[in-house]
Amino acid sequence: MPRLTLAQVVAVLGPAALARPSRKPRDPMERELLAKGGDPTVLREDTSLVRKAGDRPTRANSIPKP
Amino acid sequence: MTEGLKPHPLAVPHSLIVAFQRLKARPVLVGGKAVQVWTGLQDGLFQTYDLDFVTSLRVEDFPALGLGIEASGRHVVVEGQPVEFPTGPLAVGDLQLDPESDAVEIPTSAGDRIRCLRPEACVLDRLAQVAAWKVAEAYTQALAVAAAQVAQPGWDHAWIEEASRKAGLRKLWSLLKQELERDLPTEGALDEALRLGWD
Repeated sequence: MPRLTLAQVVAVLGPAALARPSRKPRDPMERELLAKGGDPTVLREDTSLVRKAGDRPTRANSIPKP
Repeated sequence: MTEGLKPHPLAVPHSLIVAFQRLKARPVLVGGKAVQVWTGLQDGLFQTYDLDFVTSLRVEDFPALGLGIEASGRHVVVEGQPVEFPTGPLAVGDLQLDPESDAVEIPTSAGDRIRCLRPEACVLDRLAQVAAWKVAEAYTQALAVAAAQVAQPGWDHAWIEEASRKAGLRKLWSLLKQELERDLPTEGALDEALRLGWD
């Protein structure tokens, strides 16, 4: 049985993740649509990171390791 | 069916369900809304605006149905709700999934039924975003789904071990499993997850 609870994840890592800029690449048109709707993740995204709309994360479209 | 799992009903416009039925489609819910299904959380880090369904349907298939569904770029807008159809097939990273066995039927808040990515696959779906794009909130969502569902009797431990290896996510899943055994999650593990990448 896991010791970690959902509430602990939210309490500890929620603020930690929200404090960082979101690195999710997104199609600019989709970003605009979601921003108009008030999607909070979109509002934190680095708009220079883009991808083709609908593409899922794969090795081929990964950000290279630093 | 969802025997042994604990899904939380999700708001899905009824006219979208009707559209899927008329088009004889069995789409699978993925993405942030699937995370909401398996955690029951909808605020802050878990808030998301659009519904993502993997299906062979196209945006152009919907307006002609006469259900008031509008096309807008890659989305359709149903009762004000944007719906996107990510590029198929159903997959985690480069691992193709089975839309029948790797998805389960869940209830909507209106009493309809839709198909949704299983929670184990939902965890790997989020970890793929961590591996590919270093998305910190995706790691937190993966850990949240696992914390909420891993003790449920329907959780398939063998499936996620095998699938994580095939998807190139074994190291990230191992790290996440270690976190599940802790008393509190750590930011150090989040940083490590963002560094690991694919196997």
